[in-house]
Amino acid sequence: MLQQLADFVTPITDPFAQMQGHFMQLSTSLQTMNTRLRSQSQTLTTGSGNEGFQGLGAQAFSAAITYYIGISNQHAAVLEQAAGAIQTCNTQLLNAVGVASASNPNVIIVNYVLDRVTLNEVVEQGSTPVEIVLQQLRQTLNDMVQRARAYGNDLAKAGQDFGHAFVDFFSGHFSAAGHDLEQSGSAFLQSWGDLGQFLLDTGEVVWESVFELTAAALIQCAQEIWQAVKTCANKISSLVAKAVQDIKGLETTASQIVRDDPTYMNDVRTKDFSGAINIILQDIINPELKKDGLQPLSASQIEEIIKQQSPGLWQWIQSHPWYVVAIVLVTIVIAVVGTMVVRMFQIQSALSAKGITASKGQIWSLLWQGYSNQQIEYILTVASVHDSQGVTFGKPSKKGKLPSGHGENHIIGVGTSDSAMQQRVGNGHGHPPADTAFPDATTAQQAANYAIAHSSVLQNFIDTGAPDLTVWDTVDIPRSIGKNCYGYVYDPTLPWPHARKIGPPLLRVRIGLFKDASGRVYIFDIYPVQ
Amino acid sequence: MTTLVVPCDLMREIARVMGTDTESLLLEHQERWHQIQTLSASLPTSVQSVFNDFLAVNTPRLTDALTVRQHIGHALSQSADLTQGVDDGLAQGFDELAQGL
Repeated sequence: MLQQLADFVTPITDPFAQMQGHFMQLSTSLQTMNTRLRSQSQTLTTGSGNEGFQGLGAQAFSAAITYYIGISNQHAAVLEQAAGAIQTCNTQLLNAVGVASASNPNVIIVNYVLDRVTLNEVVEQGSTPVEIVLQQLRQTLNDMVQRARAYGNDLAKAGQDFGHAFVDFFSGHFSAAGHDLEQSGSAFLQSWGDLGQFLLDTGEVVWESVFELTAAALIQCAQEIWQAVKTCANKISSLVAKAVQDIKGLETTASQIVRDDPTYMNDVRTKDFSGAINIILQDIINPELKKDGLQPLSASQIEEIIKQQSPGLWQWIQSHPWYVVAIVLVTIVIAVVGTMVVRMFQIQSALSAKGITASKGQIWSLLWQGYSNQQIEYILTVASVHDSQGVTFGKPSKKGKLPSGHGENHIIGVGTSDSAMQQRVGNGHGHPPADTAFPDATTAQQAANYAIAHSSVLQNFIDTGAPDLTVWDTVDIPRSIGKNCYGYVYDPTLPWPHARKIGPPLLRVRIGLFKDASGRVYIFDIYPVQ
Repeated sequence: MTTLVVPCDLMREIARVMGTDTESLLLEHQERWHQIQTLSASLPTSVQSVFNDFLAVNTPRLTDALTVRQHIGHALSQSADLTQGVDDGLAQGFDELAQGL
């Protein structure tokens, strides 16, 4: 192989050879690691007997692994194809040089051309720059031959200047002429440089054929270099275009590989965590709760607890890729519900020790309203609004009245009509002259629960208050409870019944507890206040 | 109804190997990619651009994919820890319950 031609393509072939190695080895590493990962994943999910990772989390894990290996193998294939394109290009470049070398081109002409053409020009324009240089060279050589002939015709001067060199040159004794010229060291010969040497080497008759043979070899070589690099560049460009398409089609690919529970995976992927949690609840949690007669859970309840108790965890869920969240979400939901179940048993046991019977359903409902174990114990130690309604001071009343420390019967103000409240204010029954009511018994119970859970006065009374006594406290309640509460206060500036409306909302309650002779605690009265 | 089986120790072990392998892949990727970038820069200018495009498109794809692999490993390990925590919590809760009865 002609070293000059080999050197000419070295700026591409050397880097290409190394790049091909890096692409190929990186591709091999990816594929090797992916094979290992697939094997590990199968070991984990199939296991032996019942020891394999099972459940929605396991399905999500398998889907995530399949997803990753799918895209990673695509990347490995792209790297392999890039390596292949580069290797093919290098082979074609070296072939082009080999073919050109085999045609035995004249080294002087080859050097002359390669000194005047860059590899970058050949890569960009093919044989054109080479042909331009060759054309100029052809002209130059022709001129030189003409000038030499002119010298040769003036044999006297030529002989004076160069001895017998030109006589020999044009007589066909090229070797002798060259020798004479070299010996003479004339300025004329030096001005011819390598081209003069070429002409001397080849001679008047054959120089043209040698030149044309070399020119053809160089032109073909340049054309093949151009074609090889162009083909390689096109291949690499197509890989770039494919990569862009892959990125655009990633979501489609991701959804295609999800097999086991596409709805769940799709919900997680689109960050519809409520939808995903609902599926977990429907598939795993709620059927179990139903067996125990417990209220089924909704996604919003789970979300609320996670946000309340682990805001960092909720942020973590929001910020991580869907395929990661898909795996851990199941575990998180089970962890949240599992903790609640344990707490439910703990509370029931603690109440039982105090002689109070509370159903799992009651405890379960309060747990999901965000109350602590201790708060729930206090709430359930006090008789409900409903149960308190039927109790009178000292003995139960058949009329459904509450007890009164002053010997009066007292009805908790639930659902009192608007006109009735105004009448009571106008008739001076309110003491102070005001009357309010809860819109329904559920709201009244919620307000009582909240007040008992947050009032140390009430809790102290529950713990240490003596029988037959009452205790009162005024407690702020959240808007969610007090938003529909309202009533009337006495206002003498207004015409009869002198009732000025207050609320809704009313965001405070006045609550009284009563402990009977046996130590059982009832709600004496509770009503919203301004 | 889904049956849950969570082999925590095996999950942690596989997560650990995934982590080690991913670190190794990331390191190899960084080193080779740097070499390729240097080699690409040494190519004739007309050839450079196509490889620059190739590297520009594929750099985030490869690193993102490896990050996915890393996340899956972390998630697997965290799932094992969370599940273990739930199991321990349940056991502790029932133990306390039994002691209180």
